[in-house]
Amino acid sequence: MAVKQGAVMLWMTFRRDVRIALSYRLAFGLRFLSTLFQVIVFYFISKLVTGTPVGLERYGGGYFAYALIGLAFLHLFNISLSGYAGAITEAQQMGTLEAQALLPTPLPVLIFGANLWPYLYALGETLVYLLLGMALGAPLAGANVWGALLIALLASVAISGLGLMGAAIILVFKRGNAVSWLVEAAAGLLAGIYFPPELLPDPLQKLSYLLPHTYALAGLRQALLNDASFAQLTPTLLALLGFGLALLPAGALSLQWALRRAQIKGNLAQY
Amino acid sequence: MITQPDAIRVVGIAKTYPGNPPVQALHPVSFVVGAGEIAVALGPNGAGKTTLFKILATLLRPDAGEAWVAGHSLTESRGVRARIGVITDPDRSFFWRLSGRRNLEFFAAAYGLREAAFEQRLDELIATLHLSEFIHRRVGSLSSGQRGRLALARALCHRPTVLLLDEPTRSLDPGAAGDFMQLLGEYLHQQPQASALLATHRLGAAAPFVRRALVMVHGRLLADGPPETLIREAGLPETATRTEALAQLYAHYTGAETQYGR
Repeated sequence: MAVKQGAVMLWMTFRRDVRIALSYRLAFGLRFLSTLFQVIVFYFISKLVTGTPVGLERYGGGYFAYALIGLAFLHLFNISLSGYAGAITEAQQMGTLEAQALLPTPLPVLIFGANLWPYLYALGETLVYLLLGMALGAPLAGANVWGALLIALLASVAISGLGLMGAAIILVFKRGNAVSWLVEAAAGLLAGIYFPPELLPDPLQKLSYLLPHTYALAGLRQALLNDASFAQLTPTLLALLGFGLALLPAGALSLQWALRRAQIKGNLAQY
Repeated sequence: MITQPDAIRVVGIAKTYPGNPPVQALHPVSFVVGAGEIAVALGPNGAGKTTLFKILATLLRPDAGEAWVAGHSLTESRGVRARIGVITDPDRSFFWRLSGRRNLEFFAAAYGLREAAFEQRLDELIATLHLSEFIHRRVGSLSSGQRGRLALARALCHRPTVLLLDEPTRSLDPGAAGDFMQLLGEYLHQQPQASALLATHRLGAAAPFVRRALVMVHGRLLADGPPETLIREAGLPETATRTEALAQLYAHYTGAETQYGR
């Protein structure tokens, strides 16, 4: 019964957020346009990179396809990383957080639900990135799409663990999501979004293995550019599963702790 | 014989907000609001009323003491939340880009009210609280008075047994506040099993249906009982109306002037 009611509230939260998003029509359209521009910019940047540069040998398709996948999925992963904290801050600023905390539905369920629409929207944007990339010549036609989708979902779960820790930090410190800042900066430098980690000095390469993004992006490129089979993707899938099993419970516990602390300090709605 | 549990039973609840220095917002307080009883919490700003309301609504954890709301211990927060209707900040607790109806639909779903059951309850609330002229408009376009009525509809949508109303008319003009209190009074009259704890500075609007007063000052509960009894116990002159009785009590315990004089 509680599980069914939780699922109902996830659906209601998703529907609520779709309606709110659709009420901002201009923002809705502008986000699509910014995706289009970003793909085109990287398409022309890639013209500067000819041949097969160091580190790109194991990925077919050259630099444009490499950067396209990095950009497309970075956006999705950032929603898992920052969306929960963003949902809390928005509810605090609108004054709806306390009203939701008064409901019999546990607040973490509503916080999780509040990130569903942004996540699905970002998933749609990822698809738009990839389709635009294909239209501009990225060789994705023979991709293992289901393998890529599974990697993206497992990575999102793992990164959500970090995102929930960030949400806990926002509940405690109100501003300054240190987890999100640190992981986003580290991923940008280390995880192989814009360039292969193989170009980094050895100690930084080792650090990159601490991020789920690194495994996810390498696996996604294998699946989408090299049509890697599920058997070939197994090490990536297992690594992401391990990250998820460690990070998600840690994130959920952090959020529970932060909510308890806010109940003691009486500052749940403060921002 | 089956007896109904008290609506609210508070035993030694206390709260100090941590900080430097810590702020003791509530000294140990104990009181009972019986089933079907309507009580008003009187006191100046900083008296500890909001802290008390937040504790009873399970938004805030007390440092000491125990309390039961609608027969459920505060430690069973989900049980308490399912049975209370709360108004804290009517103006800033809705999704402003959505209509009043869509807001109520979301909040009602958390109490298990969906589809036909929700539609039926919504029709009742529209009729009782006169929501028809604005229920389909975005909350952002509503007046404070309309948002106040919407907040009351949200608090009542699941037919709670205990209402916790913390200054629900704070942003309303006297006319709208009077209308709000009248609607609340009508609802409580129709639901004799429902109880309410109300904090308000609008004594005139609340007086007609209040049967019990809790007077709080500096986090302490100084008086608790029917207003007329408290007047006698305090040796104050008898008053012609309950509004004057509440005003006298307020002035006596807080030392403050009211619109009715000291």
